[in-house]
Amino acid sequence: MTNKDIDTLLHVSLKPDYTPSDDLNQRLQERIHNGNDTAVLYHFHGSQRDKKKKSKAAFVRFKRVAAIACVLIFAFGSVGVAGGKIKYMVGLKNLFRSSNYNEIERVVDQVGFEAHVPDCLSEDYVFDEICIEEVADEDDNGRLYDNRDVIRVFYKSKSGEPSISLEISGEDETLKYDTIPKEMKEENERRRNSGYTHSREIDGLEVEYFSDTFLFVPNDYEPTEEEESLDETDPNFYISYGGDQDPYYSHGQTIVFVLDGITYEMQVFDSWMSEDEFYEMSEQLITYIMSEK
Amino acid sequence: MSIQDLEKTIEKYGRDIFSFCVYLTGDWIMAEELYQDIFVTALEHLEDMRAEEGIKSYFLSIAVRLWQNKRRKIAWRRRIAPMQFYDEDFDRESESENNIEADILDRYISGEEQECVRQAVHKLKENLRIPVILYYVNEMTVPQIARILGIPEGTVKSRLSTARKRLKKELEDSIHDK
Repeated sequence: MTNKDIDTLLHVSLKPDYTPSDDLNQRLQERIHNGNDTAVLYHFHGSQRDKKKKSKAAFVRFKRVAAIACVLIFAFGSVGVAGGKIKYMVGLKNLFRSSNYNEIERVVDQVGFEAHVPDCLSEDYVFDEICIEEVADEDDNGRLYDNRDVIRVFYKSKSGEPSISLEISGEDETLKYDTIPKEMKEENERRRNSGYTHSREIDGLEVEYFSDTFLFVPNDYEPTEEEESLDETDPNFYISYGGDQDPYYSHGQTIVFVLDGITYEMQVFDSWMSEDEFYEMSEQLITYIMSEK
Repeated sequence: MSIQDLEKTIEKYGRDIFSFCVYLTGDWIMAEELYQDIFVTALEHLEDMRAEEGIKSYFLSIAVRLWQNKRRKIAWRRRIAPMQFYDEDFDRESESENNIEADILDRYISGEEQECVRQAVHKLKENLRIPVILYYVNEMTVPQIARILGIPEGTVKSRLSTARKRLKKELEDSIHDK
């Protein structure tokens, strides 16, 4: 294949042949004529297409929740529930997105639980975007349980630090399951004792901090033996499928607490923030929530 | 520029810009998001914009900037709402090529081979992929790409050259084996 061949092949194969749908154009028109209202209601082509590749990409999230909860799932087993064994927590749809802070009331109405969302997390981190995502649990037969909506809020840093994600679930995710497999108890214990997981009591709440390493990889990625072994044995290492680039490592910090049955989970990737700073931020968030109740 | 001018621009360049979004994100839903955000962002700068020749470049440069800002957010979304690769479900509309040479070659390139090319481009690192998309999909010139990305023309040429070499290696294996 000559250089001219490759050039011609690229010209022929890469065409601007994706057309925005009438529905998309309609939504765009609505946004343009609604001024600053930047809310996006998602209209999916059907839930089936969203379910196609859900399982692996959702893995990381569930594994972490499992560890937090001292219950559940994974690497070595799964939890029994009516009808099957829960294997994954999966994302089904993005239902709503807005960069307008005033949309929060509408979002809270929509999800049906009383979430409190501040307009900033500290002097540096300010509100950027709010989303509603539909999630569910999936058993080993591919059946879905407990479809529910969660709120995700992004806060951007004025000083250029990575954004923080705050996920709010209307359930106490940590008390969701009443069966605790022995293997998971052991894994959770290992994780807690790994030196990368800590907890503090803030205003009477147990606030847990996790420091984890993520390997983001494409869906078709075959992990090396070493990576597979790490994923199974290191409680703070996760392979996260669903990326579109070469594999890359990321350092994730997570804070979780449950207040009035609502689970709040803050997470940041590749930040210079210290554990103490992250705890301080969670304390401010707790103070805000308490004051709003 | 007025809102009416913006709407005319969408009508004129919408397909080009949306295609860029699809190639860039590799994901239909994110492409739709990005496509809307480009024009909503443009709304905030309507007074400074002129409906002139370089307007398509201007929108593409907004797309690149917005995409770079979105990438980190996507890291979270991926964890919960996995990516849908654009090649799976999309209905493509074939468009007649003006270029006769390309048109002839097109008859000999199967859909599967086109797919291979697109997949190979998608695997490129972003610093190589974006110049390739702008050059081949959107038919931007090297100086235009340099302006859109805010990098020297020499860098654009070098990235295009590196990308071609990598694609050649990848495609020689995948296409000729079939």
